[in-house]
Amino acid sequence: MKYVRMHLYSLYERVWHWVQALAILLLIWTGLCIHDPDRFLVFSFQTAVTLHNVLGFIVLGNAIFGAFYYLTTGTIRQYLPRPHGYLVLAVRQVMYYTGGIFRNEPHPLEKSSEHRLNPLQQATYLIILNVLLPIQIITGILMWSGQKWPEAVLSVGGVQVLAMIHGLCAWLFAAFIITHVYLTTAGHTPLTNLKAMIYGYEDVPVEHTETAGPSIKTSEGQSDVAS
Amino acid sequence: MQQATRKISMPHINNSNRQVTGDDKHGRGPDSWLTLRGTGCRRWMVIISTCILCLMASTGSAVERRTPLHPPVPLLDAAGQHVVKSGKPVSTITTCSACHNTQYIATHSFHAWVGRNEQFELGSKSESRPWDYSPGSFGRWDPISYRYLTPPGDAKLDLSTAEWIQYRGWRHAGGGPAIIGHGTHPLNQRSPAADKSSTATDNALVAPDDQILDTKTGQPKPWDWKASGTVEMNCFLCHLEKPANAARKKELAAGDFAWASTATLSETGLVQRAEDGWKYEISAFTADGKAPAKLLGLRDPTSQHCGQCHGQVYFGQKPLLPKLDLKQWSTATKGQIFSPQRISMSGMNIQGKELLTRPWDVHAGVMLECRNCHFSLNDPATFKPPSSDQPAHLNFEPRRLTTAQFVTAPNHEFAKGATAQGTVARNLEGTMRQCNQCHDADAAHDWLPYRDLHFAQLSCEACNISMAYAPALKQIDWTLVDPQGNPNTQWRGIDGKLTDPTAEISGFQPVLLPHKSLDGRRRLTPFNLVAAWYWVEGGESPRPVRLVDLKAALLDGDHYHSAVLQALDTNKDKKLQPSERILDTEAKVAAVRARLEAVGIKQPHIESEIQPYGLHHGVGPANFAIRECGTCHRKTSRLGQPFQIATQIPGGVIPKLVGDSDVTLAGDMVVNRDKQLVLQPNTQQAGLYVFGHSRWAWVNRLGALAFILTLLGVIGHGLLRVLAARKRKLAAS
Repeated sequence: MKYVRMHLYSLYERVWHWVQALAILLLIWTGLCIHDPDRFLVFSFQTAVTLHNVLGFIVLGNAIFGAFYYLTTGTIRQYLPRPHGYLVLAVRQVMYYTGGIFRNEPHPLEKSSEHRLNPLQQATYLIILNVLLPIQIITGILMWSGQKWPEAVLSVGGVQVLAMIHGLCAWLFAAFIITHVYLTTAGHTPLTNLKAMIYGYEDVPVEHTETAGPSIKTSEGQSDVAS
Repeated sequence: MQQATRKISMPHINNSNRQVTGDDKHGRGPDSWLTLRGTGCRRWMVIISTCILCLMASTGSAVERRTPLHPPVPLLDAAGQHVVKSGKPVSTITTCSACHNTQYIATHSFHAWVGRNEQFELGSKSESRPWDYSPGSFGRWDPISYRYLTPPGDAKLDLSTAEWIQYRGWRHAGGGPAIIGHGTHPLNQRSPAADKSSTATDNALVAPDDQILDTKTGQPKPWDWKASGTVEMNCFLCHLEKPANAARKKELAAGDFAWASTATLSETGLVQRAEDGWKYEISAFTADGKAPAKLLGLRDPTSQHCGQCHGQVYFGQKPLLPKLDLKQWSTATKGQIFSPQRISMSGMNIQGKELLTRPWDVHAGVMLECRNCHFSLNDPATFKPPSSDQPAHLNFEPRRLTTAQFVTAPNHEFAKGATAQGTVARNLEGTMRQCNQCHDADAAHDWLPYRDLHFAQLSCEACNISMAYAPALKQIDWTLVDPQGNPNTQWRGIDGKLTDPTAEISGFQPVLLPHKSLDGRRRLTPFNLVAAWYWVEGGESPRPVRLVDLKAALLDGDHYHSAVLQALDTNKDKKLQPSERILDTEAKVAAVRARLEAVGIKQPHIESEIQPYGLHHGVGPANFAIRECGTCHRKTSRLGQPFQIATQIPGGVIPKLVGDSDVTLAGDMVVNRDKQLVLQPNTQQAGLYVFGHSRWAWVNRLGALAFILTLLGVIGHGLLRVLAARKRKLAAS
C-alpha cells in the first residue's frame, strides 16, 4: 500500500497542543493535590496552589493565543460542523467506531490539512473549547480572584458553588483526556496520530486519499508520496 | 528658631578653649552670655544656677518617689462626716466626690449596672431564656452560678437582691442594683410603698428587694437594708495600690454591705477589723484627719485589679501556680491566664511545657495592662470615637477633654469588643480597638497567601490563640447535686483532679465556630463550650428549680434521700459513688423527677444548654500561631476536629446553644461509642469551602462515575479491537 505523507499540523499548532496538554495534565494533578492533599500532595500546599494558578494562566494565555491563531488563519473552520450532511457523517463515524474499526475498515473521513476532525471530534471540541474550558477558566479565575474581588465570588454563590462547578468540570476534563488519548490509537496504526501531533506529518494511504476527494494537500499545497 | 533652640540646649563644648559654640537667632557668638569665657561673675552665676537646678531636680524626684500624684484624702461617711470622727463606714461616693464627679461615674459604668439598666420584660426576647430579664448578671441567669435572681412579682423567691450581693457581689464593682435593686430608690432609704416597682403588692408574690430566702424553710423572710446598708461603687477596689479584696468579699458575704468599701482599705493600715467591727487607726491619718496618699497608693487600675473579678492575672517572678476554681471566672471558662511569664517557667505540670517558651499572653509579655485596650470611653489620650458616630465629612475629631476634665469625670464605661459571652452593654461593642487597629495585619502576614480571603473568614484569634494551656470548665451538671449541694463539674485539659498539683495539664484546642464580627461578617473564632444540665419547673413561667428545692428533693440532711439512693445506688453500698452520680437512665431520671414533684415542683424536666466562651486573650507570639497551610487545608483539618462537649449526658438531653451569643453551632452533635457527646464541626454548615478539607460528595461521586465509565468504555473498546485484530490475523494466516 502506498502512503502519502501529508503535513497536517503546523509547528504552532503542535506547540499549542502540547503546551495545553501538559498544562491540563498538571492542572489535574495539582488540582487533586489541592482537593485531597492527604492522598496526592507531594510538596507544600502553597506550592500546589501556586503551581495550579500559574498553570491555569498558561492554559488561559494559550487559549487566547490559540483563538487568535485559529481565527486569523481561518483554521477555526475546521472546528465548526457544517450543517449540510453533518448528521449522516456523524452516524457514519459512530458506525465506524462501533463496528468498522473492528473490521479494519477505512476511516469514513479522509484526513487533510483542511479536514482534520471528524464530525464527532468537531462536536466534542466545540463543547470542550466553548463550554468546558471557558467554565473552568472563569470559575478558576473567580476562585483565584477571591482575594481581589470577593464580591464577584459572592455574587455567584461563593467559593462553594465555584468549587463545585470547577470540580465537576475537572472530572469531565479527565474523562475527555482518557477518550482523547485512546482515540489517538484509532489511526491506521496505533501511533500514527500521536506521531502526527509530534512531527506534524501523517502517512495517509494513497488509495484512500485518492478516493476521498479533492482535499489531499499538505498545508503547503504539496504532497509526498512514499511507498 | 527651632534649630537655634536645639543648639542652645545641646551645646558642643570645645575642650581646647573651654568654649560652648553655637549661635542663637540673635547671632550671639562667643561673647554671648552662654560663653564660659565671660566675666567671673557670670561664671559663678552659671555654677550656682546649675547647683540649684540639680538640687531642685533631686528634691523633686525624691518627693515624686515618696508621694504619688494624688493628694491626701479626707475619708467621709455617707453624711459627709470624717469617718475618724463618726466611726461610720466610708462612703466612696461622698469621699471621692470632693474632686471627682462620682454621680457621673456611677451612672456611666456597666461594671456597676451589670445589665440592670438594660432590663427587658421576662420572656420577651426570643434569643434569651424564658426566665431572663436582662443581658447582665443582674437578671440574666447563668448555669455556672445557678441561683436565679428572682424578678419582682414572681411566686417563689430564689435569689433576692440582698442575697445576690452576698452570692455574686464578689464579681460586682458595687453601685447600680446594689444600691437600688429592681427599683428606682436607694434600698436603704425607701419605704416599701415608695417604690412599687420592686415591692410585692400581692401577698402571694415575693418581693426580691425586701426579702431573702430562708434556706432552712425555703420561705422568704425580710431583709433590713438599713442595717446592712447598700454597696456603693467601690472606687478602692480598682484604685488602691493594695485593695483588700478578701476582706471586701467577706463583708459582702456576711451581709455587711455598707462596710465593704471600708474593708477594702484594710491593707492600708487605716482601718482594722476588731471583734465588734471595723475600727479606724487614727494614728495612721494626718493631723487634719486625712488618709495619706502614700498609704492609699491611689492609682489607675492595673491588670491585677481586673483579675480580682475576671480571672487569674499574674505579674510575679515566682513560678505561676494555677488557681482552678469557678471564681477565677475567665480562667475557669476559657483557660485564660493573663501573665507575662513564660509557660515553661510556670509551676504547672503542663505537657511538654519545656517547649512552651512563650508568655501566657504576649500582650502581658510586653507589659500592656487591661486598661490599655479596655480604656475609659472619654479618655482623651486613647479613645477615638467610632467613625459611625461622626459626620461623614469628618475624618478626625480634634476636640478632646482636657486632662483635668477627664480626671474630674472619667467615664467608667470601658471600651469593649464583641464577644459571645459579653452580653451586657452590647451598645459599646466596637469601642475597643480591634487587632488591626494596633497591628498592621498586612505587614505581619506578608507570608500568607490569599490574605484578604483568610481575613474575611477567620478572626485573628483563630490562628493566634490556637491553644489554651490551662484547663477550663467543660460541663456542669445540676441535675444531681452532691450532699453539699454542689454540681458535678467536668473540666477539659487536665488529667486528674483540679486540686492535685501533679495532675497533668494538657490544655485544650478551642473549637472554631462562626461568630458575628463587628463588621457583620461571621468569622471562625476560637471557643470553649461549656455545657450545662439542670432541672426546670414547667408551666406558664418556667424557672430553673431552686437549689433549695433541689436539695430538699434529693437530700435528707447530709445524705441522699432513700428514694434517690434506691434508684441510683447500683452497687448497693448505700452511698453514691462519683460514677453513680449521673442520671443516665430513664429510671433514674424518673426517680429524681418523682422526688421533685414530691416537694412541690410542677412539671419538672431536664433542660440543657451550651454557652460559648470566646477566647480573646492568651495570644501567643507569632511563632506559636498557626502558619502551616496543612493545619487547615487537609482532610484532618483543624477546622473539623471533633470537640468534646460532655463525658456524660444527663437524662440523654442534647444541649442547645444559648440564643444570645451570635455564634453558629456549625456542626453535628454526635454521641460517640463511649457515650460521650461530641461536636463534629462542619465547615460547609459554617458557610465555608476549605480547599483540601471540604468536599462536595455528589460531585466527586458523579465525576468519578463519569471517569470510571469512560475508562471502562475505553478499555472495553480497546480489548475488542485487539481481539478483532487477532481474529483477522488468524484468519489471514
